[in-house]
Amino acid sequence: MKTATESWLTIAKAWTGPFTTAERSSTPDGESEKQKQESRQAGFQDWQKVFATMHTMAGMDPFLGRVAPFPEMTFKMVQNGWEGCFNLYKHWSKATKSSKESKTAGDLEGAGRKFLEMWLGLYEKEIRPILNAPQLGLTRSYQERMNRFLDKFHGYQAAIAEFMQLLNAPIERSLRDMESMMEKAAGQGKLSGDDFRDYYNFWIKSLESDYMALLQSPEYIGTLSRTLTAVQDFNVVRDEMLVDLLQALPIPTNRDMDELYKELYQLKKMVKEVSAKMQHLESYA
Amino acid sequence: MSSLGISMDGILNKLVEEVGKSQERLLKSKDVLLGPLDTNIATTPYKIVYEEDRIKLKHYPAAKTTQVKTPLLIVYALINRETMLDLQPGRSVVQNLLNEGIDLYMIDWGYPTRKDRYLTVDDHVNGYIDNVVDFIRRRHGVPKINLMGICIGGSFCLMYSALHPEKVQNLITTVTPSNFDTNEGLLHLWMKQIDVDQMVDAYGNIPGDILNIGFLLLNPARLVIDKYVGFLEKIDDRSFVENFIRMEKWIFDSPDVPGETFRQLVKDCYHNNLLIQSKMELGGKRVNLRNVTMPVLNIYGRYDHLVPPEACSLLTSKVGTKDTEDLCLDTGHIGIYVSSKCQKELTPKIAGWLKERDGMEEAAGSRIKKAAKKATAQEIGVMPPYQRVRRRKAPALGA
Repeated sequence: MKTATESWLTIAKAWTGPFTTAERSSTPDGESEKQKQESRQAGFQDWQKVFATMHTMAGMDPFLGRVAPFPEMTFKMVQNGWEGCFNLYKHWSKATKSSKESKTAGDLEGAGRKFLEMWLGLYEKEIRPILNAPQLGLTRSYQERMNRFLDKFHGYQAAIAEFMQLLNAPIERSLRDMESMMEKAAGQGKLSGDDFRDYYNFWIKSLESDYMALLQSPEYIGTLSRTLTAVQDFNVVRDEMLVDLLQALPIPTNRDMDELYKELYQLKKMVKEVSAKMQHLESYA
Repeated sequence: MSSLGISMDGILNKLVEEVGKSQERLLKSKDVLLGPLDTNIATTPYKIVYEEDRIKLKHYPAAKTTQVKTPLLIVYALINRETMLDLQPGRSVVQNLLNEGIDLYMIDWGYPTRKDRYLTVDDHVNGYIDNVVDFIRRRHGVPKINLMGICIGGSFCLMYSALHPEKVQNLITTVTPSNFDTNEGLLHLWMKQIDVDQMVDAYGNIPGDILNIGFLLLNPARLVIDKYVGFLEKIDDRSFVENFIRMEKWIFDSPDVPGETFRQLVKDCYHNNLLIQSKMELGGKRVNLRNVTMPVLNIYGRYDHLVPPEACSLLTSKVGTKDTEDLCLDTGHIGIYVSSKCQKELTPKIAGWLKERDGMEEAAGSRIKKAAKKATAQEIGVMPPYQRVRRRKAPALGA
């Protein structure tokens, strides 16, 4: 450790040496520069003393012994994450390759869904625990909110991706239907290139019926519900973050205004009731 | 020959022909889109005769001699705007009703802001609607007025008529959901699944854009793709473009919905179906449909995907009057008001139905009228009876 400390100090001196020389030569006020240099040197000497003391302290060995597993732990975490990413990439290449070979859109739909599922699995296993790790210190609550924001943002993106994938499925299916219709008609010699509108009409009808089937399905309703939940969750944490930012500025937040609006609403209601009662009494007077 | 067995020459010739046509269309469309376009909506003249908070009351004086003495108040839904009833000259429910000699009022709910998030259904029904009805009764010196509701506005009118039957002469509900226990519309299916508490807590007011996305998703193939393909195909037709843009203006003019109102509607209606069972409560009072003793005309669309016939048709069997009529038109939710065919059916039917009942009241003679006037004076209480008020703004807080 001593060797390491000495070598760092040597480097620091070597780095500051030419700088201070150049600075001194370009500054007319030589006296104040001398003072600055002395102060820097005193600083270096203080650090040197601290490191030297650490080197001689008997208690440093057990401390270093406990610190030693940290790089190993970090390495393991990185390794796990890396393995997950590698698996994801492997799956993606496989899916891309098979989609090039495959002629059915169903395979592509399945591959996309599988990829999304794998990513979500990786996120749940490797990333979310890190974001949910307890935070410490003065900025604990801010950091927690930031982590929650990142987590919900991911949830929002994942839900939208899943939802869009579901919405995209009827488009792929209807195009596939149109292709097979055209192949069938071609086989029977009935295919003509006279009116593109006929093909479009066939496609849009097929798309509409595919959508109707999808939109009523429990799968869609469940996904829609999850998507709305994810969007709303994200909205809430985003607002929390903005409230944190706005608190530093002389601007009222939605939270402040909502409290005020509620009071105003209740007061207005009360005033209207009282005013109606008074007018009613006045009409008898 | 291509792999599909079509002559490539044929395809290419057709393609060239189509490109030529499109080019010609685009050139013409430049003149149409960049030239003067009349895309104004809600052009029928009106006066704002009453204002309270964000709401305004529009008054359209009858175009010719009044043929229905009792004024008609139209209550639109909180979703989208009442301008739909006056989209363009010649295709306007408002104008048609005026031409039938009806003195017409319409509530403009305005654009709720965050301060409106705490307003409940009770505030809309027993607050705003009741104040507006009282205002019109005072203005015309009548004990009762005719009420017509559109969609959820119709549900509000139904609630109001059950709670204040003494102020409603006739009730007309159009595409009005009253029975929410049906799986026949996508909206009903989806609404049952949403976590409304989380939604309202997250947004405050429910953003109009979110509702619009929901409506587009009811039929993405037609509403997101086919509609605009159709537009491109007729982009050189000025009249078509003007009508299309008017409709677009209306569709995407979506105010937010006050949060607490949305919460209550979803919970009480879509989740628990309380309205049709006469179990819903507003301001601590039960909305008993048996109290709806005035004549009821219930109009809905056979192909309505938002409020299907199943959600509307049960109403007439649940109200406390025998003078009811159901009218199911062969159209959808919006078509009932904007399609040329329905324009010819809807307003003549409403006007005829009202005139029939207005005449009945007349025939009953002045005895009933005198009694009614006396009742009005007692019921209103707030202002001296028969005082004509040109324009009254609700007193501001602290005034």
